[in-house]
Amino acid sequence: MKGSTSRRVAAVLLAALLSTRADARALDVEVDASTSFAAYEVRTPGAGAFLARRRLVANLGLRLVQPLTDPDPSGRVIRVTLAGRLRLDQNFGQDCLAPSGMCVQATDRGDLAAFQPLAGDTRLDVPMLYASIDGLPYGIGARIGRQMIADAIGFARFDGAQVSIAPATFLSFEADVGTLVRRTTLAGSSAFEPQGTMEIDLGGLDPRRVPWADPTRTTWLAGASLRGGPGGYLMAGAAFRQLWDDDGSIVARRLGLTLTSDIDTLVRLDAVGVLDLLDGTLITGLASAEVHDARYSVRLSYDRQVPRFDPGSIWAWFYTAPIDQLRLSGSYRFTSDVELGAALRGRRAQLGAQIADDLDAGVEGWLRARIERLSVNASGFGWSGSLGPVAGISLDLSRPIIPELALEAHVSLWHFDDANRENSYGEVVSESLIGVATLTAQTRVLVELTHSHNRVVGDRFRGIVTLLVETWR
Amino acid sequence: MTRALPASLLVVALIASGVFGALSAARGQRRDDPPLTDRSAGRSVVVYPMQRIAIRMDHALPEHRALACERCHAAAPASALATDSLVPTEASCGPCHDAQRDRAHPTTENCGTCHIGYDAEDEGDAGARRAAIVPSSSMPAPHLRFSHVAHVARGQTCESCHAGIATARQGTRANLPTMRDCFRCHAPDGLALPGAEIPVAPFACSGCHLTQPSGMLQTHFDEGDLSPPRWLAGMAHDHEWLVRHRWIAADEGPLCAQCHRESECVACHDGRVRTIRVHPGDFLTTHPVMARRDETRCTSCHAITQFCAECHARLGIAPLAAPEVRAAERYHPPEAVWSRGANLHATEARRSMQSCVSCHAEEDCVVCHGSGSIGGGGRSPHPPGFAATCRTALETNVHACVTCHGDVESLRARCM
Repeated sequence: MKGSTSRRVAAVLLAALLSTRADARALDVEVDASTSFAAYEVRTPGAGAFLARRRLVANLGLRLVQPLTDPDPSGRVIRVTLAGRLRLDQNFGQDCLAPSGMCVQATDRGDLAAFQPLAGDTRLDVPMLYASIDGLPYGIGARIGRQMIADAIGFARFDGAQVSIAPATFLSFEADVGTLVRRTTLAGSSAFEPQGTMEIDLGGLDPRRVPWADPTRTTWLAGASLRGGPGGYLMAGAAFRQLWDDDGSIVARRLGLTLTSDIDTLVRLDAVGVLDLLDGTLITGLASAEVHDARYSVRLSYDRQVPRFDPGSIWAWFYTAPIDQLRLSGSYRFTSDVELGAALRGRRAQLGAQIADDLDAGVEGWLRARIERLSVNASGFGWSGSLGPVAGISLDLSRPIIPELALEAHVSLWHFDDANRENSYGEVVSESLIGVATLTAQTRVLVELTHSHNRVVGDRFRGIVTLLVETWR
Repeated sequence: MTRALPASLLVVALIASGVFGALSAARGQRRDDPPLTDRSAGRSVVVYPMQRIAIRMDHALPEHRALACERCHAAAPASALATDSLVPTEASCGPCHDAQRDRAHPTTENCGTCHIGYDAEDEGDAGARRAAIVPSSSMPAPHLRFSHVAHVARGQTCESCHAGIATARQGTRANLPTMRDCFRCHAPDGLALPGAEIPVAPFACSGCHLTQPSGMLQTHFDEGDLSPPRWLAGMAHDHEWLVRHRWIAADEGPLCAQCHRESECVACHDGRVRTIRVHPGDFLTTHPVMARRDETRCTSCHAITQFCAECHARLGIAPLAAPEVRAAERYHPPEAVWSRGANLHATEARRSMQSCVSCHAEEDCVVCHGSGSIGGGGRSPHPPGFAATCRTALETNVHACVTCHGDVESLRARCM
């Protein structure tokens, strides 16, 4: 039933697309593609593993846009869009145990002593595939297919339908329904899944081999959001989203609230809250007040986060510490080419009964400057307190050499100290050189070479080559 | 080992100096050209590319001020496109300045009055006499849509948008309207500024900005990338933007979508290849330290039980690694303090449960925390008073209850 409905809607959209006279408004095409090849090394001191990994990731995005009307005086156009994106993620390389010199194939199902059910060599997924229409009167729009929501509650990717309406400049409404995209969904990925479950397509593997794996299931999503207000000086929004499995188990039920105000041309206020309606906990709270003009900016912000897990996993029922952070930052622009900024941060994690709270404090500073055509970004930070010291400085330089080539250099030096591991401390120095070549107006190539060194794992190298193509007609 | 640090820094310094210093002479401007106008005119160089103005035209001069704008900018009132060239031609100067034009006998005094940088006696670098070159202006079209005729028809005057031009010694980018000026009359939905002078005429971003076929704004230009001004909906893409964009995107998603495709969100939040911009420094080494501190930021991109656990299993540091790969060395502090004695693991679990989940499967914890009925240690991880609310848990999602308690019916009897 679900499939036939989808087909009907797709047929209507396709008919609308084809019924438009070709000589009236041509079909527009946008293509964006990226292909990255990365060679990198992973070393672990404890496990004695040395991984020389290779990865090829290819993204191909295609967007067909059929305008159905000419722009109205405000620039709005009724458009039908068909958008899709394919991604190939191909991993190469062996997993080697350095002390023994033994290399094993983590994805070889026949080698039960080394097979890692979570690992995969090839993944092909479709991050996005939808048809949509927008620009209709009253701001009506609709979208069907694989799509993403990004709102106060966070990200979600689903296969389904979305409708939206904005009848006035001060009011908009959106509703979504469909099934959540999981790693085990057809051409899906694990991004934006609820945390905590380990769904794996066993593909004939004896479940006793992976007792920790969760069975594959279908998770439904339904949500709606409403946003409005009299103007930029006061806008408010609310979003609701529920996820549930096909057996009726609730995975998430959340309410997001937002309030923003450009109360004055110099003052900006933001507030975001996300309530977990299953237990009434405020799991995300953000509040920020900023005063700024062309030269300076001062911002005070408060951020509260409570980690959450899929209630179907046991992790959801352990105590997880709410983390509060307070941050005061400011920047001053001496000229359009020189800006200096600094921030103070305080962090508290409430670890619960009988355990003292974590208290940490940090400081940050940064400088952005442009000297002729050379851009300079220098920054540093330092933290100390219950979680131990960590500090770092970095310097980024970038400069166009010729219009077709820009070079960047990054150098950073960090001090780290892992309280969980006695020998895991020291300094890390990392250097990168990046070249960005513009081959044509539509084509760029990025080459990034990085070397890192630290006391724990020694030297590591990494190289990335990325080809980017973006064009439209 | 300790010598390696300064050595690698030295290599970087040498390479950087080679790249950024030795090549600095590339593509200098022509010797005769007047300099580019000031970058700090308060206008985006992406919207209004830098100009090279080679004509001296003092708008503040009383004789010039007495003229109507269209006397020189004749095409402006009827112009419908931002790409129209509205710079006056030499002919418009003629009626008043013909007497000073003597092409047969050009002198610095005559020609240089208007042509900035003109020097009739100029000599080349090699000392050889050469013909003086009249410097040329470069006035690239703005990367905007703009119709003068539409604004004139609505009663706008030149100074409504070109503020200060009447007293400007030189008309420059500083006299072109800023986005904020436009917002006096136009504003996309919900973005009207306080104190707008006249009733706001709603306008989509695409009403002014160049767009792609999909209606998304064109943001990449030769001059750089378009980014929002500091005052617009808190969207300044400043140093803190990486942390802050989550707050803004929570409420301003449709506005973000004016410039960004979903695939751009996914490129980071579901990315496969990590560039240095995403995780600076040697993040592979330092990520456990940062994960304990800022864990919810990790989960904005990574599914712990997939992404993190896969790598930890592959490396052998996670208990769910295959037997041959599993590390023999203990990752955590000794058992005596980790799970007995000081019981550090309880503190760490409360502090960063996500770090635990990045290596451990549920069964690792059920061994001790599972109920006695399934052979567990019976050590409850629930907070005090949980029994009073466990009915909700059972009604919400029973899977986790089954994992630790096995017999749900007896639980129902206790909780309901």
